[in-house]
Amino acid sequence: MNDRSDGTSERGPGLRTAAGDKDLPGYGALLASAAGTAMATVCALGLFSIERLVGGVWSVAAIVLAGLACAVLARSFADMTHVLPSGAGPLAFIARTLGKSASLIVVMPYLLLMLLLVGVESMIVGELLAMLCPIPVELGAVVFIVGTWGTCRAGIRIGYMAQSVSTWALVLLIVGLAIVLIVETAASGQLGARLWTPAPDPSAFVAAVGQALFLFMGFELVSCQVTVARDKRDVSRALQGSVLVLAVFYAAFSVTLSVMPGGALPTSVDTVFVPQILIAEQSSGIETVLLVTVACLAASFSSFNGGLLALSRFAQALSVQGALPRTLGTMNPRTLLPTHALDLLLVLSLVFTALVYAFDLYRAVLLASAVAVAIMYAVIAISRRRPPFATTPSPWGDRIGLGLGLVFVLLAVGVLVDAGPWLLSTASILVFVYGAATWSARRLHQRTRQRHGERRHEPNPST
Amino acid sequence: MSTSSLSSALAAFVEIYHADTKVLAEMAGWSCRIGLVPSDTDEVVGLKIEGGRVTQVTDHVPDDADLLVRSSYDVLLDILKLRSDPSGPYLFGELTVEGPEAHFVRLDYIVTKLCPQ
Repeated sequence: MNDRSDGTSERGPGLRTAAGDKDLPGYGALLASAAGTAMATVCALGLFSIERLVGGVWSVAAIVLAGLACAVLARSFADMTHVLPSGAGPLAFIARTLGKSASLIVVMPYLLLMLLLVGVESMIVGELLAMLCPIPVELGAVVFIVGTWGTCRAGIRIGYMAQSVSTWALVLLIVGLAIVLIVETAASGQLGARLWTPAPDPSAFVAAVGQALFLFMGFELVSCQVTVARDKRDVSRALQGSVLVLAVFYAAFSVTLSVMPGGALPTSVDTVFVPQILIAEQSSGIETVLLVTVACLAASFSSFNGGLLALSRFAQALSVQGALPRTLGTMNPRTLLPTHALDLLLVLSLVFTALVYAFDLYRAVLLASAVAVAIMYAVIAISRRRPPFATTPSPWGDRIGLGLGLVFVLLAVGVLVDAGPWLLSTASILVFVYGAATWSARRLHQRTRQRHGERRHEPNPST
Repeated sequence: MSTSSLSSALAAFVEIYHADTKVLAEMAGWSCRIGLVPSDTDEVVGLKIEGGRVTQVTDHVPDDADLLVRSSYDVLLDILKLRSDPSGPYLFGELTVEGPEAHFVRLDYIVTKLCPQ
């Protein structure tokens, strides 16, 4: 256990767990959880998109810049988690500074886009499963969604150990293969030529940094685990450490994509493929390809399992508040899971997957996610500088928060400006998710007013 | 701030909970020590649950508590008086918990079931 110098830990007085503190997640488990949540298989498609947009060292520069912005933001999240150790994370932080409705409008699109990303992720998993057994990609995608949902509904939750193993296996395999490929390219004397590509258009570079934000999407959700962490400070360390792990992982991955022979990669960025497998095929044998396939499947499964459980709780809590239909609030007394909310998430996941597949929305979903995450990060940057998170009024603090918020907004605009033929589909997705969030916020507002009205008419027992 | 006592609200809550045999039966396997800690007063209450039944109510946080629930006095009072469920304040940062989420989910389940719709 990480103890303070005075011998105490940052947990409540006398708090215990059934089997003692060793069962609580420490720094390593939280770091793996933060990195693993962000490191979905779909991120490889985002990396490929950035590689096609700017290429070579410019892709790495875009990732590093996005990582730097996220590192500053990780500090903000850590400070906010210290002031408000809430399992609701960003939703609670924004609600405390800007109100419940604003919080819903900012955070709900982010969560809905996570479900849309499942649509892309499941098609990639379908490709992976098709490599292991002779089934159609579409069937593999459905098996992945229904199988993961089934385990959640049975009350099975992937533990920290399993998530740690799948995350670190994927990191080590990909970084190891990347090093092999980079060394081989350097030995053939082609490394410089493939990495030092001409400088891109500034607007394309801004768009690339904005898209790179998408790669980090989810690292901040580790702040929700502050309620169960062995030591609150481990959450702060995991927030900042995960940004470093992700930046190194994505930079290595990006360099590998740059140095791969031109014919190995698809020409269109609107294609579903698995870059991890291509890298394994380029640099190693069938055993490694199989290992990478299994690691990708495990990472996708643990990521979706955790996401489904968290989203179903969120939907249940919102329905109890009146922001969503009441039936979603029903809990199973045995598993204590919101089964109706889980069922709705299954339907939504399948529908979103079908829509993504039928209308080729892969790239539009990635771009819309980058915009939504940039907007949420902008609001977090501003919220950090407001009470209760800013304990003393400081004009410089306000300016720093506003400045960082503006940077994130500019990156979101950059993504849209450079969206090209995907602008309409990206905008449509954004209208849908922000529309749904606004509708929920409105319902919540009406319900809250109604409750306050009822409260005023209650007899006061003290009079 | 309300002038009602948190401990008397807790006593009334326990009475209503114990009267609901269905919810009580659903919680039969649950044992837990909970502390309710208002952020704006010194009054603290605790409860010990064994086999789903509340066996002890205290005016302090139990030793080796499994779950600490922190919020303003009024929010805690609203929850104990079944005027509000815990999930809303939790979701929007007005209430924080420390300890395994499973215990809080059970607490939330009980309050939601007992709350008049």
